[in-house]
Amino acid sequence: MISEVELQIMWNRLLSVVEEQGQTLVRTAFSTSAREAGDISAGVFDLRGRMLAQAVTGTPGHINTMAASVGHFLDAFPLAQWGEGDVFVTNDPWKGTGHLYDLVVVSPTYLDGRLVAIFACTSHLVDMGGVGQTPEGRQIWHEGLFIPLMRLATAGVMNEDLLGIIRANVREPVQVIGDVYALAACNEIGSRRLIEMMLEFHLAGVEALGDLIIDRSRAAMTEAIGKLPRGSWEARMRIDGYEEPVDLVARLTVTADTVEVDYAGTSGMSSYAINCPLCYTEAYTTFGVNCAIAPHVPNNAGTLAAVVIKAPPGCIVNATYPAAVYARASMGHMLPDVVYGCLDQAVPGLVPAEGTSNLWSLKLVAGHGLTGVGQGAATGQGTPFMVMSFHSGGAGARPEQDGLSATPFPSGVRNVPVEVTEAITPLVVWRKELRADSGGAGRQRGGLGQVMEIGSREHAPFGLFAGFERVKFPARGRRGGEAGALGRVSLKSGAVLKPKGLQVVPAGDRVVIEMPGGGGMGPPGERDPEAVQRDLRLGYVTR
Amino acid sequence: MSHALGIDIGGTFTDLVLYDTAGGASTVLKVLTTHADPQRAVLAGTRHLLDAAGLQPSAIGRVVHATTLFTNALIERRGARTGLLTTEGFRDTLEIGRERKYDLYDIGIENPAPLVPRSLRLEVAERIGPGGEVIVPLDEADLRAKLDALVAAGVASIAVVFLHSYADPTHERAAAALLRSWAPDMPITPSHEVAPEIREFDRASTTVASAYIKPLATRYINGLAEELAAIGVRAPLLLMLSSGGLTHRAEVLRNPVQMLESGPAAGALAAAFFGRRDGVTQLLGFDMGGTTAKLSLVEDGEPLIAYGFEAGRQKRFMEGSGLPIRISTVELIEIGAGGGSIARADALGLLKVGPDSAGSEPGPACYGAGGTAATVTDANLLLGYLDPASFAIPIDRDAAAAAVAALGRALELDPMAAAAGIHTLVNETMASAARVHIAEHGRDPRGFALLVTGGGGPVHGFGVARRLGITRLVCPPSPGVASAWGLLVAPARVDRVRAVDVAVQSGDLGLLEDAFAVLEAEAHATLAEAGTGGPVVHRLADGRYVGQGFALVAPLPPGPYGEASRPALIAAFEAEYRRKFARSPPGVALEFVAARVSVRLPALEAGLAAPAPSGGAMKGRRPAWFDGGFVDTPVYDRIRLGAGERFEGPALVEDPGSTLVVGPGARCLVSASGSILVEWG
Repeated sequence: MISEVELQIMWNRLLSVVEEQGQTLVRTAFSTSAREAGDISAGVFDLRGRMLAQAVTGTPGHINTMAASVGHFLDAFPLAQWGEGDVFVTNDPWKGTGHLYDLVVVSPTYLDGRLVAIFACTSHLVDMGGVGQTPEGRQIWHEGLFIPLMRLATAGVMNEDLLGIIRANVREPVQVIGDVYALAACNEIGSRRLIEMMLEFHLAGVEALGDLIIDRSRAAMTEAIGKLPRGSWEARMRIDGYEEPVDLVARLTVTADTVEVDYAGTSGMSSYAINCPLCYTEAYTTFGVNCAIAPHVPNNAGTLAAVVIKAPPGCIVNATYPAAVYARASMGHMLPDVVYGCLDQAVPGLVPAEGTSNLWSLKLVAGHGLTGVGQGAATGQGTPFMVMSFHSGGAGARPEQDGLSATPFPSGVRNVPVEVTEAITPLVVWRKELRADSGGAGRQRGGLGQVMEIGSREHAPFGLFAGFERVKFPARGRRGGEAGALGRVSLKSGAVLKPKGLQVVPAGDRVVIEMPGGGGMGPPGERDPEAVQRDLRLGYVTR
Repeated sequence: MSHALGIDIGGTFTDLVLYDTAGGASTVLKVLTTHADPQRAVLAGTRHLLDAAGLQPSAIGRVVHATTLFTNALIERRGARTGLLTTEGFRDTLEIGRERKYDLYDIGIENPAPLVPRSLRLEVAERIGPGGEVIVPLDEADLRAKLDALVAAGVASIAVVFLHSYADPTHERAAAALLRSWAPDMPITPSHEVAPEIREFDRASTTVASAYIKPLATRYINGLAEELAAIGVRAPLLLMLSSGGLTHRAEVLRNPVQMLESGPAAGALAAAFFGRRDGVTQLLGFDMGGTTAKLSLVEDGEPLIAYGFEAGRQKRFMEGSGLPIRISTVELIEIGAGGGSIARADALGLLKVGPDSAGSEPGPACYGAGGTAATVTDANLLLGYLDPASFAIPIDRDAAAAAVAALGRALELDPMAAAAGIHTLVNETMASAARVHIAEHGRDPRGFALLVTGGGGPVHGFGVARRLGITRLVCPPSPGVASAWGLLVAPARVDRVRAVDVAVQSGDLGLLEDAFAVLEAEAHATLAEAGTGGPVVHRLADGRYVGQGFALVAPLPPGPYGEASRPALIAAFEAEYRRKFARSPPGVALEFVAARVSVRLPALEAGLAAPAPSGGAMKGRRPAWFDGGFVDTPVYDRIRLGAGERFEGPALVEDPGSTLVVGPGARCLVSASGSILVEWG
């Protein structure tokens, strides 16, 4: 029997165990997305595959997909087949985190020879082969190496065959293998801490504790949902898509103890890699709902069960094999905005306006076949490189506050410093500044986007793997607020570039990236005159 | 010249300690901080201490000062109107920051306002690449025009942050020289002099903070030095750095952010000092006050050092919500748990304590000043740990009981279970933070002792230690004011860093040696002005496996380095890496990205007069709560406990300002140094 106070103490402890697990991963990772941007997740599960706690380090697309992936491992490998020192792995987009670039690593924890718990973690790797980090793939086979659910280690011995196959299929084998080790090591740290905790509290298993955590969280969700009006609301949002615009349609229904979101009516799949598997759709939908109605309830199986998501197979937010899915975030990041379109009708003043939402990550490359023929400066083509840095436009205005400028939402990543990008490539970032007049006008103004202008220190072309949204359809305001500015990608010399796919910047020219602004909230005429004056004084608004 | 004076100005109190270096006697004085004019409390307190001791001001041979005034000026935005001159295209770096939402689930967060508003951030045409190549020459006419614009806008301090100046400061140095020649009275702070490290936002944030407090720091520190001199104190004013080192005025005024964490640094040094006196060199300093608790890690008798922290967090205790400051600082974790921390039922119907605090007004319910929320102090009172008569104010025990009982009803707990729950939970909160902190350093808490200070440290130390698996506790004499001791025992110390780029397996180690030689020469020059004695040099490097982003600071073997040093350098880094992260990746090249030196003079090893056994220290008994029920517990008077006396737990030891709580089964000994050593298990 666990007392109330013990429950709170053990729950806190479990959260600090997974936090340490996550921090270990960030600090030992090689890929910029993990180490600079925190594009990872870490968590602990019971033997039924229920997530009991997750690190708050990380980003929702990883956290909530990982929660489901452990169940797939339990289906594929019955517990009787697990042994001490085994480690499992996959990058199956439909059973992992939605694209091949993320690896899910799952490790059992043993106490006195008995399996007691499971640790899982995910990380976005430097590379997984294929066409590269671009939405130009047409089928999953274009996108790189597909690793079905399998053992990464057996009884502590690494699966060298698998590691060999990975090495042969990726562009940066040393760093990718380094990341595989980092994933396994962070689960090991988590396991060690859990064992210490179980010994201290004389726990033989985590099931009883798990029941309490999950029941308590589920009850807190039920209470939060009980404060919402019952009913059903629909919202739609049109976004750029690849070959044609995409309509995201959601119907949100509040019942006594669940929030159901049904994406029926949403556009079908694209021929390109902006398709989103259901696991990733679930991840961002749940995250959006939780932020709005119960941000204080820790995320676990109980919390996640309160939000039920449906999407017809074959629509772009329930993309089916063998669709290309690399840029699934183009859809996933947009889903909270659609959900908030529903919630805003149910509870005015609860949710923010639409924002840039999808990251404006810069994936810059140079090399054979991409920006010329032949490798290296000796051939006059400049130094080959591949670098990725995360950046964001403006977020939507909040009910009582302006939108955050150049800040991601719903993603939880951070940028890569310009000095770091320049130190590892021949690039020059000439400008990185807030983009005046890009925030949607309103009683609360939308967050500003930013402008980046990039050239090369060498007289050589370089490429940009573009995957940008909100170039044709803006982030809309709510309740009378105006839309944020559209994004734009162009050459300094004038030509407008396409927002998706590889764009080449000719030698001597620069690319100018103007990131979108967030939507405004409420009629602009109701804005506090002092805020209007401040915006003019500081140059956030120039007219 | 036989006395040392320590002065620590905090937000509420100014602590002064006068120590007779020959006789070992000390006097401590606590006075209220005089915010409008902080020198006033210092001068009045100094006179009072001297008069009480019957000494002339000339008897003071050493004055050491720590203060939180600059931190408060940052948090309250009371610094100088500051301008920033930066590379063309980058005036918004300070505002854009790391483009991160520090709380993933909170839609309503705000970022800390930049110390320099957008209208005072001006750009200058210039550009140097990461390899030091000039891409755009420094436009001196543009620089002059921007200076004039800032002067016209009324700035009182200017920061200069150019891209890649950590690698090549040529432009930044030239600009600073020109600015100083054009505006001789304007404080100019270039980033390469403050934080020569890659990552433009962190460097800009640190530089701007330094420029922002520089006028205030200059005025205040020079004023204090002059006024102390005016009352006849001839000893030079030494200042405590965040790293726990001491330095002279000019070094602090060059870069005043170095002093931001000087108060807590004194506390960590005090913990190290009191530990060393009893041969305890691996310890966790645990200082708990009214609103927060601070933990510091001491290894081999020295506080651990970190190389950056965040000032003025927007959302208290949440990483990423403050202003990054890249300096050497005593490694501390601060937790929102103190005597005034409020206990309540959270949204999940579970007990939660802190981080919000009832503060001193209205304070805990038992203060009878209108507080109705149950606090940690209320719980401690009901559990019998605190004696109502020992407070400086009248205590309303019934109010405490009512507040805790009301909380118990909300949680379906009886009142004593609720009180015990509050005490236990707050212990776990602190133990949890400590556990993560210690684990991040790859250490096992069970090898450490807990050293308790502050009003709350002795009350909660035993419970915290037990939760950490620690079996030894040290309670120094007068734990409530023990921190000020750190000022008296601090060594003179200088820390310097510079960016390097060395492939450890294959690169030119001569370049690494050159970098260290320059840093050490600089550090020695600064130290030479601060005192005498044979300096101790420590070399460290920020290293990582090629492709990683996080650099780990690892201690290196002594120089000079040549080809033969390669295996030792690699081994030193790998040992530190494995200690922290369990395993190192196979076959990846290693690089050093920064060289650091820490040069210090030996610490003053102060002796303290040992207490004489006087007998009759046990002054009574009262029921106190241990392991689920009340136990009739002896109460000791700390002042009457002499060296060599032994007793066993359960026990309560009362000091003015604090009570040491010892559970059943523990053995206590008053050591020759006057500290109480508690062991169990």
